Amino acid sequence: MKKQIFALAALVPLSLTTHAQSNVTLYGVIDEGLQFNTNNRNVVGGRNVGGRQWNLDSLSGPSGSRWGVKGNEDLGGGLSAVFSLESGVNLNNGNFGQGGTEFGRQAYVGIASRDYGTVLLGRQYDSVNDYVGYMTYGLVGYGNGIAHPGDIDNTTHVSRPNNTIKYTSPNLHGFTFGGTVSLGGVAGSVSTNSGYSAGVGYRQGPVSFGLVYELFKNPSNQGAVLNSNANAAAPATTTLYGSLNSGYLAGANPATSWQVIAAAGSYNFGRFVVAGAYSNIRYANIGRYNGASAGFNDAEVNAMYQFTPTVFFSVAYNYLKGNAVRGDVGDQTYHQFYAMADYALSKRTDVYASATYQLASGTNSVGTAAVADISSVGDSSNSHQALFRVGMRHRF
Amino acid sequence: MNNRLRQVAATALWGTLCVVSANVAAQSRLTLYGVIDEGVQLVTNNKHVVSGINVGGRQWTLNSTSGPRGSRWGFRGAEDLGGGTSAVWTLESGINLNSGSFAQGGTPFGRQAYVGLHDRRLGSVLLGRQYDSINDYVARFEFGLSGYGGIDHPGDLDNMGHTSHINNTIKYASPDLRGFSFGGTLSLGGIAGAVGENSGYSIGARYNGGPLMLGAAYEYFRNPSAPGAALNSNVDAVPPAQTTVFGSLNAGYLSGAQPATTWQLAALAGTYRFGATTLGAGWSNVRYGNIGRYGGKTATFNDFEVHGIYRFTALWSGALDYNYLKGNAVSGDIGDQTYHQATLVIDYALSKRTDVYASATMQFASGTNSLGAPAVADISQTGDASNGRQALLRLGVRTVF
Repeated sequence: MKKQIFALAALVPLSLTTHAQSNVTLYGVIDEGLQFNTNNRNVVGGRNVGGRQWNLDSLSGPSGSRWGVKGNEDLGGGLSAVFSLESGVNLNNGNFGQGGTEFGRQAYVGIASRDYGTVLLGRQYDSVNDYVGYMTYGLVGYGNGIAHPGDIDNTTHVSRPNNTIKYTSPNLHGFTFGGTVSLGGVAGSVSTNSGYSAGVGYRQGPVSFGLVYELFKNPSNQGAVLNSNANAAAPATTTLYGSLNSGYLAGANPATSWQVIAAAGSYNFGRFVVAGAYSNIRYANIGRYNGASAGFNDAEVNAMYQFTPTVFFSVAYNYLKGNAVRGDVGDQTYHQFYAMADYALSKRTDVYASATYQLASGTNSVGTAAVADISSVGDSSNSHQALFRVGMRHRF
Repeated sequence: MNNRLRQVAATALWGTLCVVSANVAAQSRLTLYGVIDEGVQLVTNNKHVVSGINVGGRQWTLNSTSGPRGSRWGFRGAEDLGGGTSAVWTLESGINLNSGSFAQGGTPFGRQAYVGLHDRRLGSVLLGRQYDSINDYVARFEFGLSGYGGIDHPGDLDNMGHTSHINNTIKYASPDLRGFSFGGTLSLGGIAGAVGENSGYSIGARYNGGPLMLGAAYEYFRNPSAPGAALNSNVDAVPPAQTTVFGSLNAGYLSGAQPATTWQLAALAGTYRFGATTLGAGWSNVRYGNIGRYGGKTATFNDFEVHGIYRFTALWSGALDYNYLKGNAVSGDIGDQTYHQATLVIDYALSKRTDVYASATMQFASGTNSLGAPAVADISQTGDASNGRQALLRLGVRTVF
């Protein structure tokens, strides 16, 4: 993607001539769409009766809207200093994305070495994003941005871990590996709210694959991995989670750990690309269910066909199955179907139409009938929901 | 384009230099821009509540959000897509210099945030948080947005000072057709199961006939004071039952348990320029419909303004404005209120981009306000005065970048 190099005021002449090796870039994506949801949450007299919804949305399209500033400075000897400050934008009310977090997408600084890899510190993506997520339909360049139900495996990086130290290896014949450690920062208890992730990936020619493992403690505590935005509320009062997993993460005694194991691979035939992903998710030691663990398995396949240089069409299917945590509770199944058509007006601007349909069955995490909830827009009143979107995306 | 070229182009883009970029990088523009307008203000008789009674008091403040132009910074871009079409976007943020926070109730991009397509022959379609048609087709001919004003009509109740930035809005704006242009907006409420709730629309047209300019607009918004809706659209919005964003002028219609379910505006304005003088006049009719507190009645206001701007020299200019606002009774005497407001401004340009100015505004209120109490003055929503009179003096400096 092309970027505008945007030398900051006082540095303008210097950065172009004497310090040619240093730059600051202003960049972003604006992705705005008109959405129609067939059956969105609509509570009347304490009951969710559902209802049709028309709205504008700039946060959950194929690319969440954002602007950011990033820079690097060549330190010599293959070393450089790098930083990024990236802010999500809700075009439709003027607020920041990520629950009103100023630099909610990414905020980090670090040192990059050509030979030894990169160390970054700050709020940043986990290894699921770096080694697996980019091949799933939520993040892949031809995907429609809709996460797996509840973004339960974080493949669409809804959760951005705070206080994170990341290492990424250099590219070794197509292989890279790396990991993160997120500090909980709780005095007297080093591990509370902390976590780590590790992954390995391969990208060479038409082939990509990746494998990751991550484990976070107290995931729904304020500031911890699944509740890391500026507006975070305590698990007992949060309304962040849909009924899919709120029984595990919200309330007085939420799960004390969240674990994800995930793998993905893709093959590029030229005009035709196929990819698949699998993940296993575990919420452990759920107080509400006497310390039991809740497990989910998710499988996805997606494909894209480039009809012409300016038109592509893509489809995906996702299957999510939750295992019972007690009796029927948690024994739930979600099928999700996606399709998208995209027309490029230029290299940096495109228009698209997408459709997503979700079908839920079984018993959710709070013990009631499972309901659909595409992209965490809100629990549907019944088992199904469809979301249609026409949008425009512009990169700068 | 290679990176080096792009770097040169983007550097040239900084601020006012964007003309240069048109040559170097015709297909793309990115501009950082803004206005800083900071002033020292003396407000006589400002809201001062002691033991539950508003006794009023003098207030000295610094203010960067309600001068002739609200302070802001933003960036915007355009990409030429060929054939007269371009992709355009803007992110614009109001700044309170004196507290360091965002203006518009702490909304990060509280002024404007939109993206869309612009076509030279077909016009523009823009989506996001944007101004209504009152702003686009009428307010530009009134005093508030003339560059000298900044002082709204009382309560900005006709949104001529665009205090209300409309969320979730789809806008169409026509190109200039021999001086005529027209357009409108549709704002989605986004409420599941109730498409009309919190929604609204506006339409307008204007004529640019050289020295004579005219504009007209109509708009209609539902549940205007609901959180996120037209008159309560900032990120700090709270339900009408708890909000304090409205003064006693119209709080009785918009706040409380059963606020008005509609807000309607019709407005006309025009300016005429001859030599160094510009004269302007405007009228607006404002209606708050179905006010629960008053048995479902409608409250109506009519506002008239006249203003003149005179350029004494290339550097010195001045402006004079008079505004008359009359509210009609909604129940008994309630709402039968009258506001006279006059403003005088003297401006001295230090350069093309920087000026200093002094302004004085006086407001007189009489009658019975929307809450049934004696009407009180409230210039530019600084807060209800303790009685029918208030003056606001401002000494400011403004720079545009």
